Amino acid sequence: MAKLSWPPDDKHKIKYTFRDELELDENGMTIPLEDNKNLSQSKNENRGSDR
Amino acid sequence: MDMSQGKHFSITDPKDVNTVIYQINKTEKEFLKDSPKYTVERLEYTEELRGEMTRKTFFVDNLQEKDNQIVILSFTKDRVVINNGILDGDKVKISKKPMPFKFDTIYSEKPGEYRQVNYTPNLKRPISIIDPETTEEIKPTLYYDEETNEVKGKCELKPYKSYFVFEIREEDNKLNLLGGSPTITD
Repeated sequence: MAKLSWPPDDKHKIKYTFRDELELDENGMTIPLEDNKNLSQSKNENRGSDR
Repeated sequence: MDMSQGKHFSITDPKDVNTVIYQINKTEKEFLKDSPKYTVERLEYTEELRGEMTRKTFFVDNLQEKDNQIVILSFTKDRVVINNGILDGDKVKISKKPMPFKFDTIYSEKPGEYRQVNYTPNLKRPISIIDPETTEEIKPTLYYDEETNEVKGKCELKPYKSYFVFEIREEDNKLNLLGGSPTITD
């Protein structure tokens, strides 16, 4: 059986460093995070995590 | 669980873009011995077509007291754009500096067949394998190897396809996503 090798070599990988809160405050964008109480029941029940 | 608890936020995907979002959970100290320091949890979502765009609403069921980090993966035909954000009270702060990554395609001499690949999950170092076309995760199947007396894992990957793999690591007190195209060796 073949084997999955991880991590890949430099040519095939990416390293993304998370921006911290300070940087997001100064140079990020903001969208609302709302309570589910305000959501319609059907929208709450129809959620999934995969197509 | 009472689904009216918890919170949600919405984003809009343009045509041919498919975004999935993971919440990063930090393991509590008392469980660190047998668990990784960070785990990822994919957020559930609903979607609504609006013309050629898709409005996605993501649900957050478990908010920690602080440092609620999310990683945002937006898949297109040949690349994924990686971004991060923080869930803070009544808002989501998102970075304006995403990073793209172009996939490699797995080569195989047997087109059309799935190829079984050894992958035994490391409980202390979990990695996530994603099919960029569907954004679904490829989960390994565990089996018992009677010859070696070990529990091993395997998953099926399709040839002539791209996959994206990532893990979360902490270096110098900073969270990093290490991602890439998996390498398959015989």
